[in-house]
Amino acid sequence: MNDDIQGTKPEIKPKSKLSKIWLLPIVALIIGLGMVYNNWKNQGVQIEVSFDNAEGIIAEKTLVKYLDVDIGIVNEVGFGEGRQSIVIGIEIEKEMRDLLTSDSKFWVVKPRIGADGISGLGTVLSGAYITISPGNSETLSTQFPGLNQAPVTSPTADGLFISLTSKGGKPPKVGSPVIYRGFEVGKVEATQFDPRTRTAGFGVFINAPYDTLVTTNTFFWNAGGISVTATAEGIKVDVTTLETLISGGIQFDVPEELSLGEVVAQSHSFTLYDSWDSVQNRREYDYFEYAILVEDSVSGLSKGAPVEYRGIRIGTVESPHLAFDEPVEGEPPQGQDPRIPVIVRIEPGRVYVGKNVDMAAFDAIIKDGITEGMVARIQNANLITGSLKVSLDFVGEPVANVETYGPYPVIPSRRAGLSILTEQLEAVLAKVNQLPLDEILQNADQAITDASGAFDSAQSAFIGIEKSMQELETTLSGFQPDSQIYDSLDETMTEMQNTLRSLQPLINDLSNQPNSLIFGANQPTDVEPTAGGN
Amino acid sequence: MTTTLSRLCAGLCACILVSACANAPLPQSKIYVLDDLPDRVSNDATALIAINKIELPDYLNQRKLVLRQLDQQILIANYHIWGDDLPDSIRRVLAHELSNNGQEYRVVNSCSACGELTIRVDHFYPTDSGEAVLAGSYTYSQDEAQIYKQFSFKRILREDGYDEAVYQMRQLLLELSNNIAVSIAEN
Repeated sequence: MNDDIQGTKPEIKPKSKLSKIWLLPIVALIIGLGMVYNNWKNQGVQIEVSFDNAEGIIAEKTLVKYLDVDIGIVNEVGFGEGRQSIVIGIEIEKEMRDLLTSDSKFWVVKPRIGADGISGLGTVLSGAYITISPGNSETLSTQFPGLNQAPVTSPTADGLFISLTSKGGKPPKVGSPVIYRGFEVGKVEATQFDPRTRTAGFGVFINAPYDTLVTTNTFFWNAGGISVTATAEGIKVDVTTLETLISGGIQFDVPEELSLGEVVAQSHSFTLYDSWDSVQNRREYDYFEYAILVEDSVSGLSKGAPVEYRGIRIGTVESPHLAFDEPVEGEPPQGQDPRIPVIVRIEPGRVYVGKNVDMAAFDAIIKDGITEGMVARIQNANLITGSLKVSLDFVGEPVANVETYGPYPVIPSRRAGLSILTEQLEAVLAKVNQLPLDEILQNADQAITDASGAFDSAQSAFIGIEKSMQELETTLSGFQPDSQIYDSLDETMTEMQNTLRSLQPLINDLSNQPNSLIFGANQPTDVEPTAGGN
Repeated sequence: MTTTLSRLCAGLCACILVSACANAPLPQSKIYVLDDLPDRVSNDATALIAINKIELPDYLNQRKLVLRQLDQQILIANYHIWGDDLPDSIRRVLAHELSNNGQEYRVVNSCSACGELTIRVDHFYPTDSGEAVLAGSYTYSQDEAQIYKQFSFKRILREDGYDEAVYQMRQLLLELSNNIAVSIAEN
């Protein structure tokens, strides 16, 4: 071993300029660069969504999902301009870029309790998350307004969007169902109230294929709550569904008397009626107005009351009375004429249902009827509520011309049967009031007293008669076959018979020998029977 | 003179009247009853029978005994008399005998909802041929059922006289009661 070390010359190698120790950091650098590149390559799309608040949203934790699949994550939560809103920075996976259309909707999914039930229960454990409903737009965007709750209808849903206008009644809420003959075919998407027109507007979406049910002759009415109708046939209670009972709803249909009509286009407008009855009664028709100068009271006559011809509705009361501060041109001011002007609408469409009506021709018919004696009367429509209606009939005298009241042609009026009856009743009561009732009552009282005395006397007599009858019955009962007197009489009669029978021989002897009574009968001894066999 | 004549007439009338009393002595009357000495009758029976009526022809429905002769004549005795009405006597005898017969029922004068017995006696007398005769019919009704039977009994007189005749007539009533009892039992 010592010889090997002394005979070898050291080999001198030049020192490498780069130390091997640098391999490690170089490899690390390469790996790091690779990771950076990979990260850069896989980096998602950064978007911003603004919400009213950041409830349930946590940076680097809250996920963004589409169809329950994670597609992104919230990486920043901050205030918006003026600190009036929250801006949330979200990184969406690159592959999901095509979902970020300009009309895409974002909202936070968290536990909610609504009329349609409880949703988002899964987020109780997992935490709230943000979900997206992609739109149809072709342009992409990186900034979106967040919704407070899930949209009623998906932007991509197929169907018909219409608007409804209502002037009253219980308004349906967003999400309330739209029902066609018991089936839910859509939902209320939006509600708003216009202070200027004082009307409520509703955006309604009808899902396909039911959108074809909405035609030009379709009528919409409020279906919420309970409808109670009292008619001559009884009381009818109508509740559509439990959901409509709680949160309201809308129904639609085409009245039977109308044709189906044509399918409407998107964003067509309809009127929302209070109920199905108001669809029947308060449907808007073309009309022309008449005036009726009423001598009776119009208390109970309201706007919208029916105008009927022999029970057939042909119009509606427009104004039950003109205000005193609304003078009609050409007419004396109110107060000088005791009659009350009632303005009515004659609506030919109610008679010619579903048909084209010649308004001028119908107007001429009405005027001809007036000249032939057609008059209007205010009559009771409902004895319970006291509501009135206008009834037209040919019960008046023919007139030469149709009078006018300002711009309105006048239908002559006649007092109704009830008012005439009232007047007659008042006359009768006046006559009754003039009768000497006190004297009559005194005489009647005296007659009653006399009759009462006579009745008492009769009653006493009856009591006496009854008592006599009882005594007679008692007496007669004493002579019944089983009574003692009867038995005594019977016994006495029997004794008499026996006595007479006993006297019979004596009588015979006396008849044969009368002196036997004194000198005795010559009676021989008896012949007695003899023993048998003799 | 006048006084003497009137006295003479009065005396003559008195003699005539007194002579009416000068008759031969009359035979002594005999009075008969059909009832036996009263026996002690048990009152335990619950079934009741009422004897409604005892009917007799007129010639028997009187107090004197009768004797029928061979020539269909009826001799009514003058000195042999029933002590009681014959229907009542027959009723009492039959009631006594029927009540003592088996003692399944009691005979009463009247009752409701019970058996009713109606008897018609057509012949009840001794005859000249030495017999005592009892004949007639009776009807017994109870509820809806009714029995009608005719009877005819005879007994030979062992001795002369009404005494024997009455005795045998009593025995005839006993035979009738036995006949009625048998009919009731068969119903």
